[in-house]
Amino acid sequence: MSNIIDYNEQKMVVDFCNSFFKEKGLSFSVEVPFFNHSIDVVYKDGNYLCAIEFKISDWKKGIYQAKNHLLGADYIFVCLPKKEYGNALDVELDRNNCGLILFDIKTKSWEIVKSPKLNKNALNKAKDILREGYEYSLENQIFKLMSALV
Amino acid sequence: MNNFRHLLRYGTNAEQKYFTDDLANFYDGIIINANMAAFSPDAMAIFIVKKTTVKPFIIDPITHAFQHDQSFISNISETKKKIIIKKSISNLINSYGEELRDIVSESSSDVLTPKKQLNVSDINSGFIESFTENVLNFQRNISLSRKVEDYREYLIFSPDGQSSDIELNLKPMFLVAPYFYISNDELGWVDKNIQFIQKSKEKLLADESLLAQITVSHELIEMANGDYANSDLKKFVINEYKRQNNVSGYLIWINGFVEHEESIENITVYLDMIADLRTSGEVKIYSLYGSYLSEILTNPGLNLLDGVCHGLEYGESREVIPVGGGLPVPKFYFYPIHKRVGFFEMFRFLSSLKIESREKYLKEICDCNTCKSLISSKDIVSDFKIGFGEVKKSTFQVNGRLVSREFATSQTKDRSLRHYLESKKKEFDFVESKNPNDIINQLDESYEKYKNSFGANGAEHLSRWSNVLNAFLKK
Repeated sequence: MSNIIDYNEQKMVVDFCNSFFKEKGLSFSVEVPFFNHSIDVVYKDGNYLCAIEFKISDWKKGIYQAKNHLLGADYIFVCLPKKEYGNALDVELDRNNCGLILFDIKTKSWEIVKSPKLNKNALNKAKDILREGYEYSLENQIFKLMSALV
Repeated sequence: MNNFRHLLRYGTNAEQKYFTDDLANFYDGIIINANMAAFSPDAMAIFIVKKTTVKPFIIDPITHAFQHDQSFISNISETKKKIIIKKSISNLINSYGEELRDIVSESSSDVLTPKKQLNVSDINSGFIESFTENVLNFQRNISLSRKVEDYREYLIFSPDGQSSDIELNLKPMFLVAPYFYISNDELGWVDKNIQFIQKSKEKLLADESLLAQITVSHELIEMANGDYANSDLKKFVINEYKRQNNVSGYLIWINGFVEHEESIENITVYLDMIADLRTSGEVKIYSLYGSYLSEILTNPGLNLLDGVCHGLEYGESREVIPVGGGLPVPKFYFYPIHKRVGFFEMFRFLSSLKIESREKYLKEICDCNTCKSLISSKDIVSDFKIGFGEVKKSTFQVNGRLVSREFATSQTKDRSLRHYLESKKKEFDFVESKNPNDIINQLDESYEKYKNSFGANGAEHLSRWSNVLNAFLKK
């Protein structure tokens, strides 16, 4: 049985992707290089590029990191373990136009609790860079490598 | 005119091309770490003699390396399956003499293995005598190499008309006395450093000049906040150096002093310390690892520093004990705020400015030759990305997890470095030609213009620098 103490973010990424994208049937990639950092998960929904930051704890850091992706992503989310969070999280999510996904690490089920609005500030050049990173990650089967590691 | 003002730190042999040809006019002199010279003496000798014939240089003897934990000077030999002292350091130990070698190392086949670090108690009069002799001779003889003699003969017989009495740049501009790092809990090194200076002075030849290197801990600066005059730094360190009155100048290195991040109080102590040394008389004072702030201090109206050294896009600050370098990140030196900015931040900033013409880029961002050659179309952001942001992607394991990153290509690094060197030259020229108030006004204007452009602390250093410089001028 999974215990949050033994869990880490990349395990969470792998479990989530196996569940979410199997059901949704969307193309996705992990550990996507974007400028001087990387994005945990990027997926395509139609013509839109969506970025997800995963955090076991420290949701503030998760939102801060997700915010950086607004340069190139059309939608951003943080994915946190399923539990009760206070109002402060809600406030920060709204302030940064960031969505929220809760993931149950025991049952591997997920729920989109908050959907962000379309990010109109994404730059076309940055979207191109994000797309390149996404393609790189797909071509190099980073998800397969990550799955083998965790 | 001061022609030893803008100094470059020689890091590795791969950097040689940035010291020559079209970039040779961008700096005045070179500082070379002794371990680099010890690692490849022939290459170093030829570099000094052949490629920088008109550039004065200094050898930093890095004698402090022997007082720290020996893990910093050792590595594991794959072939010998044991811990050995790094080759460059071993070569240096052998050059600095058997007294040092017997204290810090053991000989094992053809390598040196670590034994113990040098302590204050190891330094006796016999050690001072021989160590000083050897350290000075190492610097004097840096250009003595068979390859240099071969080159001299080539010049004599060269068909291009160079005469046989061509002056080869063979000797350092100054010799540097052996020195050790001074921290607040190891002030005993001050007395030893002074003895090394005195001994070095005795051993100088008629045409030689001596510099003393003062390498101090960051804590000594912090402890002097608010009251430099009564601080340990002044009483037990600077006063002792000033008492000697027998050196041509000082090289200053404060451990991990990052001028862009230091508080007003720390920067104030830095200026007070330099001003205090100035009262020693006709001495030269150089910052070994400085940024634009230190460059400002070379302004004739301030009369604090005579020169500043930095590396090739690094080395505007340095920790005494080397720490892991981390992953190199592409950065762009943004002249208006005198700071390297991450490519991500620069890309975002440029995009927000909506610069629609090359002319506007050259006016608002940079008009150096490198930027002029790279920014050629109306699509400024694309040109900038291609010129300064070309990367290769890589994914690797760190502590059991996968990490993806972008790394600058060699072309990106080259362009970024050329742009950096051009920006640095522009800075040195600017501070030399303006009066202090003009320089401070430029800091204030840039702060007002860019204070919200690069995050909460992106341009705050400009305000702190202005603050300290204004206070200093009022004293």
